[in-house]
Amino acid sequence: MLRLASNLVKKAPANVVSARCLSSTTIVQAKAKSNAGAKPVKKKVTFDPKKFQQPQTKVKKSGMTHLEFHDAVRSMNFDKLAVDLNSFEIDNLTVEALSEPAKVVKYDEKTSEKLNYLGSFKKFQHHELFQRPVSLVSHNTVNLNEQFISKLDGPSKDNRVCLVGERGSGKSTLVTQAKALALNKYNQDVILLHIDLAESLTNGTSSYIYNARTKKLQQPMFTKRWIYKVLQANQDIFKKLTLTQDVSFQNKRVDHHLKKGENTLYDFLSLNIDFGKQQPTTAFSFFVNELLHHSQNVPVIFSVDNINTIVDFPVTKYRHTDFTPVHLSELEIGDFILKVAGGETNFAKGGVLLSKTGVLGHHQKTLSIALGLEEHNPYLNKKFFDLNVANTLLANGGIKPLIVENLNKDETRELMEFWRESGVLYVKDYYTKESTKTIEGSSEDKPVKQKEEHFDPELQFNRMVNNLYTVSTGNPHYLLKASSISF
Amino acid sequence: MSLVRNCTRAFRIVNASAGTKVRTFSPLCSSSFVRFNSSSVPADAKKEEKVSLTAQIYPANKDSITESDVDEWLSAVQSLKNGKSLAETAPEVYLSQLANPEPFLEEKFEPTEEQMAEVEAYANKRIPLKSDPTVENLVNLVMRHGKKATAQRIVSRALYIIQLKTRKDPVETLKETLDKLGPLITTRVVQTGTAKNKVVPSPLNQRQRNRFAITWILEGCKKKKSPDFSVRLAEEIIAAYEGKSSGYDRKAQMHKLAIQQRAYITL
Repeated sequence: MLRLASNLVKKAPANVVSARCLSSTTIVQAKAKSNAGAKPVKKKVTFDPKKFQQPQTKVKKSGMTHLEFHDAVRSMNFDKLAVDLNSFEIDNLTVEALSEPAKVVKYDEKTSEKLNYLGSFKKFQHHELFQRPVSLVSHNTVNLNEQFISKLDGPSKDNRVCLVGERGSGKSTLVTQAKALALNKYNQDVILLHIDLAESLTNGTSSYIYNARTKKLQQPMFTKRWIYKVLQANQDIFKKLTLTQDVSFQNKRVDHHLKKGENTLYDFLSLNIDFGKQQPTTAFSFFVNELLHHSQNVPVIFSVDNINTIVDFPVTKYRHTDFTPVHLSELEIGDFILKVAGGETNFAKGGVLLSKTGVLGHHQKTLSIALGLEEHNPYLNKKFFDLNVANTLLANGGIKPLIVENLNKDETRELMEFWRESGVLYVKDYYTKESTKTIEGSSEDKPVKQKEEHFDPELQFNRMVNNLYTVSTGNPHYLLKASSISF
Repeated sequence: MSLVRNCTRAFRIVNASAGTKVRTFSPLCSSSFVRFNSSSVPADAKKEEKVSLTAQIYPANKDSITESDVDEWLSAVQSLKNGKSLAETAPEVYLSQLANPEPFLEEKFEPTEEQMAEVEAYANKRIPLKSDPTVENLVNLVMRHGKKATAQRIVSRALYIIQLKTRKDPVETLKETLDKLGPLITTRVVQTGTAKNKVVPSPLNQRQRNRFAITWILEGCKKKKSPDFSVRLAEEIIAAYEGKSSGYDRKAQMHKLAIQQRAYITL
């Protein structure tokens, strides 16, 4: 066997590195020829970033806007191109106008300006379709007037209402209408405190610092912006209200000493920049105390839109120094909202109007249990239910839920009639396929238009009202979507 | 036969409850046989109009039934039970018809006058389409990966912006734009089999014209700066509506080429 193996392994030539033999075939690996005497050249490997860079030629893109749809629609001033509403006989929203339900109304200029400052005309409400904001007086408005506006002379802890309803049913519009009605009823002498997007309080978008004296976390940027809105919306009434305490503060290295009975609340809010200071201040609590004092004469309406975004999710995006999450009640304004909504902070005259957003799901139970719409389940997960928040809201007699219903058929007709007149809704005949018929005397099939019947726009409009009312079930959001935004 | 059994059972209940010689006929008994074809026609009027043969022979809606009637009835039942096939007496005829209730149970739909008028109103109407065919064409060309709902949303939003900007019916604006932008004629290469191929102009139909116009609009969208497709699409359609789109150059180029090759047109 050994002899056999030695026969198989043949002698390899001199320039062969290794040789393996399988049967009679020899596989050889040749050694590279070396240049004797020449030094090996080492190539320096360097990184040249220019090789990998794309040529930076900035293409200038054209177009009207760089924004996405919802922002583009809002920011491009389309309302200026809308049909002039002065030609229509639209009444202003007043308490007297409620006697005629199912009527499209507008806000008078002063009210409209105030509501605009407060952020009452929101995105997604399609205000760009019209020259100025309009709304429909529905049976919900009448209900709200009876249950909320008529009780504004009483204490706010007994006048707390939360608007509940399906998505797009007009809850935010109703809050706006309530404010306009209150301004009309009290001849503009009402203090309006409105938070249009409650989620901006807890979603981690503002700075926050700890105030050791009040043991609360202040949000200077949020507070500053909110106070600015409140000041702009209420400047007429704030100019009439004098301070009840002396107050001193510094603004741009100038000392200001405001005296009670002499200077007004407007002076305090416009001169004081402590609200936005990145250090603990007592400016906000001073402002609240002033409001509490003046509420004996002037009604204060505190309204919060999208309340369920903070009440149902009370654990905020903010963190303590030990990285534990901050609770809503630990924030200065969050605590203020809970106290006012719970009736602990009571305005002598006024009311609290809260409104839910229908966009969120129904897993969170805090608000619905606090409103008495659902029964409390003691085994509920802490993630879905906050007992402390629910108890706070349930205190002092609880908050009354007002269910915002969809429009009825008369209201739908009235609204669609207005849309048609203002050039938003187009009443057209059905789209039909062109029928092909063979013309006599020719062998080819050619499209032939059938004898056109007389198109009756009124009849078609009635059909549209019936169809769209059925499709949308009277929900204003879906009604507009189905009639004017779906093609 | 179950119908007959039910009938006799109801009849027995009436007999037991009344206890007198003259008994009232139970409404349950009569109503179980009555079928109305149309709800709009009153039942009484119908009865008056059409009295069945059975009712003539043996009226079921008798006011009162005497003992002799009952005896007659029971003897008829008994004789039929024993296997008598040919019905002779009035109750036998009636009962034999009860055993075959199919003609009574036939449901014939008789439309009312209102319904007839409604049908008449739609007589010359064509079936309505869900949406405009031009818009549908645009949606289908915008669609990627079969996501039609997304494409519809993009087109709807674009048309909404067009409506806001022009304050006219956006579908009409779109149609007008496509009509302005769409080329009338294109060129096709016809292989002659020899060295030189022919470039032959050929006319386009409406759908082909629209397709060219929409494709050019969608190409033009890419140059707009908004991150939202719907906004870019709206901007490009508005630009095309105002006669500013780059598609017009393409159209002119196509027409120029077709005119150059007009010698190859065969009529």
